[in-house]
Amino acid sequence: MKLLKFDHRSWFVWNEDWFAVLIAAIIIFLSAVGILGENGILIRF
Amino acid sequence: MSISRPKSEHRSKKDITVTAGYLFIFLLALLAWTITKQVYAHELPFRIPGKTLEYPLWAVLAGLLGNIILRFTGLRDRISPAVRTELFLKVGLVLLGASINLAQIVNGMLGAVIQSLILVSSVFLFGWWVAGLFGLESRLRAVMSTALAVCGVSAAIAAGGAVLAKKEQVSYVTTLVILVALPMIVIMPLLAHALNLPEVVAGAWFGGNIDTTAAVVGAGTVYGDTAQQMASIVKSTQNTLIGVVAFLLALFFASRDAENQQKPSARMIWDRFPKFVLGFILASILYTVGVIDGGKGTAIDALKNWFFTLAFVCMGLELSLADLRSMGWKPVVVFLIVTVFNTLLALGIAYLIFDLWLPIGGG
Repeated sequence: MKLLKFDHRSWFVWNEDWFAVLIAAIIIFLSAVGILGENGILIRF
Repeated sequence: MSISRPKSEHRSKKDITVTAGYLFIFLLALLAWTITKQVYAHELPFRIPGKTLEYPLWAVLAGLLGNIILRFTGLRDRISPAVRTELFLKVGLVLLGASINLAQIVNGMLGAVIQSLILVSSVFLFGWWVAGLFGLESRLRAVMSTALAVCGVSAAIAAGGAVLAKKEQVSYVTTLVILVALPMIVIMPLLAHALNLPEVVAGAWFGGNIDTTAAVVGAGTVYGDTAQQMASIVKSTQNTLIGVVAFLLALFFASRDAENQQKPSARMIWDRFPKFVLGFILASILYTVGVIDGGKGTAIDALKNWFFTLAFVCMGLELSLADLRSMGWKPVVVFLIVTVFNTLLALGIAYLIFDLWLPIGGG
C-alpha cells in the first residue's frame, strides 16, 4: 500500500531514478527466472 | 483520533483518485496499442501506409484526447500525481538497455560525449545570447537556455532550482518544450527520411536536437529500432551533463546576485545525475554477457514498449496551454530561433561524428 502513496513528500517521487531502476530490475529478474515470458506469464500486445 | 480520521480519510480518497488516474492512463495506452494494431496493415488517407505510423504517435494522440476529457470533467488536477512521464520513460530506458550490446553503448557514448559537449555549450550560449537580445529576464534566460541545450523538462526544473527561478517561469518553459517536442516526433523522422539518413545518424540527430527525452525516444522509435537505441544512448549521455550545468548556473547566479543565498556544492552534480543511466548500462552488461535477453519478442521488450507508451500518453496529458499566455510572444520566438539553430547544428555534428568519424554499424 505504501507504494501507492505518491504525494510530493514521497521517497519515490524524489528518488524517481532509483525507483525506475528498481521496477526495471524486478521485471528483468522475473524474466530471467522464467516467471515472465514464453514459459511463464506471457506478455504480448 | 477525531483529528487524524479526516486526515486519513482525505489521504485514502487521494490514493483512490491517483489509482484511478493510473488506470485511466493505462486505458489510454491500451487504446493507443489497439489503434496501432488496427491501422498497421491498412493504407490511410493520402496513401500513408499504416505501418509507418508507430505507437508513439497514437500514444501521444491518446494522451491529448485524455487531456481534453480531463479538462471537460475538471479532473485534470486530481489525477496529475499519476502523470509520471519521467518515471515511465526511465523504466523503459533501463529495459531498453537489456537489448543493447555494451560495445554499442560504449561507442555511442564516446561519440555522444563529444556531440553533447559541443551542442550543450553552443546551444546554451546561443540561447542565452538570443534571449538577451529580446530582453528576457535573466532567470528565464537561464531556464530556457538549459532546457534547449540539455534535456527539456527535467533540465528546466533543475536549472530553475539552481537559479531560484519563479515557478511560472519553469512551468512556462516546460509547456514550450512539450509543445515544440510533440510535432517533432513526427517531423524529425520525416526530415531524416527526406535526407536519407542512416538510422545511427538519425538517432544521434534526434538525441542531440529534440529537447525532451520522451520525444527523442518517440522519434527514434518511429524511424527504426537502431535509431531508437542510438537516440536513447545519445540523449541519456546528454542528460548526465545536467548536474554540471546546474552547478555552474548556481555558481554564476550566486556570484552576481546578492539575494541568492544558495551555496552551490559539488554534491549538486551527483544529486542531479540521472541515476537511471547506471541501470541502463548495468542492464546492457547483463545482456552482453548473456545473463538476460531483452531482444525482440521477449517479455522485457514487450514491457519496455508498454512503459514507453505510458510515457508518451503522459506527454499528451501534460500539455497545458494556459501557461503560455502569461509571458507574451517574445520567449516563444526565442525558443523557436534556438530550436532551428539546435536542429541544424545537431544534424551537422551527428553526421560528422557518427557517419564520418566514428561510424557505428546497424543503420
